[in-house]
Amino acid sequence: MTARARRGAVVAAVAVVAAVGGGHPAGASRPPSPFPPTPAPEGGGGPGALWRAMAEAFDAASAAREPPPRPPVPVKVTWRARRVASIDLGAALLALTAGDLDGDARAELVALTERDVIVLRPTARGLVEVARAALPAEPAAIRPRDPVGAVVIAPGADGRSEVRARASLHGRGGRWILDGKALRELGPLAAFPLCGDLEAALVPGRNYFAGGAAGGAAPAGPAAKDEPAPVFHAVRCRSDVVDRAGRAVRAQVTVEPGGRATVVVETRCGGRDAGCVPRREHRLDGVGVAIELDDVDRDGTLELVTSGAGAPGDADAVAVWTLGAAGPSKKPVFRRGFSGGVVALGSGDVDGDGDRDVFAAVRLAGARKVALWLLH
Amino acid sequence: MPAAVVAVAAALAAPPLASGEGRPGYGGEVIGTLLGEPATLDPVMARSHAEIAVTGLLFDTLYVVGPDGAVRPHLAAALPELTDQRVRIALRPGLTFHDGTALTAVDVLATLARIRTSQAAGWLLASVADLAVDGDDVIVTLATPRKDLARLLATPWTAITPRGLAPKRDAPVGSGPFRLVARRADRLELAPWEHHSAGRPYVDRLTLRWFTGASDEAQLYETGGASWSLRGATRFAGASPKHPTAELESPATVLVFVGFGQAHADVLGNRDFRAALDAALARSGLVTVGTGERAVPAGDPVPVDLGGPALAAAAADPRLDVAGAALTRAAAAVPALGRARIGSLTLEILVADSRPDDREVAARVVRALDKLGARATITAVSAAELARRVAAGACDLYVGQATIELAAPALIYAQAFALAGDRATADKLVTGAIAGARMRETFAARLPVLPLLHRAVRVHHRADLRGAWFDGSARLGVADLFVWPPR
Repeated sequence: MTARARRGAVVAAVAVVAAVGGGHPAGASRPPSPFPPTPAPEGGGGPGALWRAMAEAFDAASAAREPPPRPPVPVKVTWRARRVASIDLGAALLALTAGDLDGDARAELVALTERDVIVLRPTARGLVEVARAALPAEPAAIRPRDPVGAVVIAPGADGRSEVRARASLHGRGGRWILDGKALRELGPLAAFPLCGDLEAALVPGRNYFAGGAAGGAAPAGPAAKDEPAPVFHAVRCRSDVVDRAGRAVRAQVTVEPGGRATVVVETRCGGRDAGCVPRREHRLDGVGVAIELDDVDRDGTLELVTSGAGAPGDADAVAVWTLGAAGPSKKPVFRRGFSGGVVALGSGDVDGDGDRDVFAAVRLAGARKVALWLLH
Repeated sequence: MPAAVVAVAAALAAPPLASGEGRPGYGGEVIGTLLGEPATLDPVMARSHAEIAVTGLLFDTLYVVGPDGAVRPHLAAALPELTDQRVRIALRPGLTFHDGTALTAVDVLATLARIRTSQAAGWLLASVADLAVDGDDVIVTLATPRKDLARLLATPWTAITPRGLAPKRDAPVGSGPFRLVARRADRLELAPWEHHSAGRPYVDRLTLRWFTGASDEAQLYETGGASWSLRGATRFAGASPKHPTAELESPATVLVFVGFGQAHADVLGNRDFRAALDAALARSGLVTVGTGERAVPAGDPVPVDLGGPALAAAAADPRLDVAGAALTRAAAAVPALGRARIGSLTLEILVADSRPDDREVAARVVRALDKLGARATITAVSAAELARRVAAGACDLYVGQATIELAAPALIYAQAFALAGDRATADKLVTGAIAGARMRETFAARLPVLPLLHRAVRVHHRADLRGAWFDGSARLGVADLFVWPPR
């Protein structure tokens, strides 16, 4: 086989692999392939070269593929609320999230206030502020009377995690990356980041979102043709969950005005997995805007962590619900009342021990100061 | 320390922001009340609590004072930056008036120019040397540096009107959170302005009523006809409200005063006669004025809640010896005040018929005049008629009301002189030409008005009406009210 023919064979082989095996975006970091390299004997002329080219292409595709999800290993979780810090953020807290920004396998907490994005790191003595960046100076043309904010941590174009945030007082949001001890702005963000790549815009002058921008974020369930666009206060989603059978699960919870939460759980079912339900939809009423969704105890079943749907000024509570096949548990597996309002919930592995830690930010009188509670 | 007092007052009146994190819902019709009929909807001319309350709903200012007492940009994009006594004020993008026209720097310039030349509110901009527009920004040049420019431009009198013109009485066009839908004989009907830059108000419809009967407002609330009452929750004192009710009280920063007209100019323009009346007043009894809200008798325009002097015990009751001496001095200049002739002097005291408490106040002024030997009558007129006659000087005395918007004593004294139409002295106080102890001395020497009391405003509201808060000048944050649970 000539060199030209050999090159053509390799291209054909890669095309075949790409067609059958898929792939993932360039630049994204993946764990090493669990499979050994394909043995490829030397020699053999043209057929041998074709074989080696095929083998290389399959190995490359294999390395690029996600490893098959494995059923999670449950960890023991004892739910109890413990206050870990009380901190003055300099302005009212709007949203909270957690994620590993510096690649040390420990999640940082990211707080969004009316003025700043703040990266916090839990330590033995409480919370330490790692970095802070002011939100863009541009004022919003029309803002809601009660400030609204959204912050997520999402993979950026170079594979590093970046912070995306927007607050309603400001005319735009931004994308930041943690660069040492500073947050470096990467660029503007027009819409409010809800989760992952989902974004939405506020209804002008009001405290809720409508429709969906990139990613089509919207309350679950299609709206009838003549119905107004669905509106919602908050969306959280989780795509790194594996159920007990080892199936990848994606879940999204949407909180609508009035306190109804709609949870959609999508399971990647195999072709011969007769017992697998690809899409489930559940509802829970009396839910506040602060909400989180995660498999905290790694048992393959999601936990829904909710705040209460009371009016501003009322006492609040955090409740943890198990989200089984039939929907949320009839009673919360954990409930803790607070005299203040639960302004934000977040989860992440902040101590690097492999399990998820759930935080609740409770706002005390004066609004700028929040108490951070670890819930298990 | 006035600033500290203001902070305390603001904290006391601040909303319970920190508990529960549900979001207010939109919807519901709210029927509320005012402390009387608004005589004008022109921000520059607004005086009474009702006028200030309504103009604050219809119009916007460049800056606002938040629940925490801090000044914040409102129509302005940012707090002013002073460079060589020049202040550049950029506006938020996309501002619109209720008629859909854009609110621009030209409107701001025209409004500030009108205020600057007005007799009523020009004192606020006494330090301004020049106004100009540069692109989309307004440039304010100050004669002397002022750190409190943003605070001055947060006062309700500086609200922006289209092209700076006085708004039409029945069809005002502003940019505030509510727009006027209809004006009736006893109420204003308002609707939320969807494009308000600080957010659409939560309620779908707002009616603001006023009453002439002393117990009408409480009765309406008691029978479920109103969402809140500023004059008690029940018609009969001591009764329990018929439905779940919450209450909230503002700082005592609404000044009730006696003002003077020109009908008997020789008598009422005489400073010693004013001093005689001041000394003859039984202010201690004023604590009972109203329907249970806090009333602080005062002899000084600066409220105790803002660091003003408490009324001395000796000054709370009539000081007839001081009054007699002052009247003797007055009689030397004005023969009509002589012992033999004063008995034939009859003075008219005007009150607004929609402020029933003012009649009670006026009755005490009548008694004080009686102690001086003069007779007086009380005439209740509509708020508009009261404003017209006061502006024309066509009255003897009147019971006036003013909200104290600024905490600095110099500015409060300036406001008091402005109420009496003395712009020149007000300007001197604002620019610092009269400062320190001379401020109080100047006030006492001229007595442009006689402060009687500072009253609080107490709102009794249905428990399902949430989000109530008062600012430091006793204005209810109506745009932030919401019905919970949403209907």
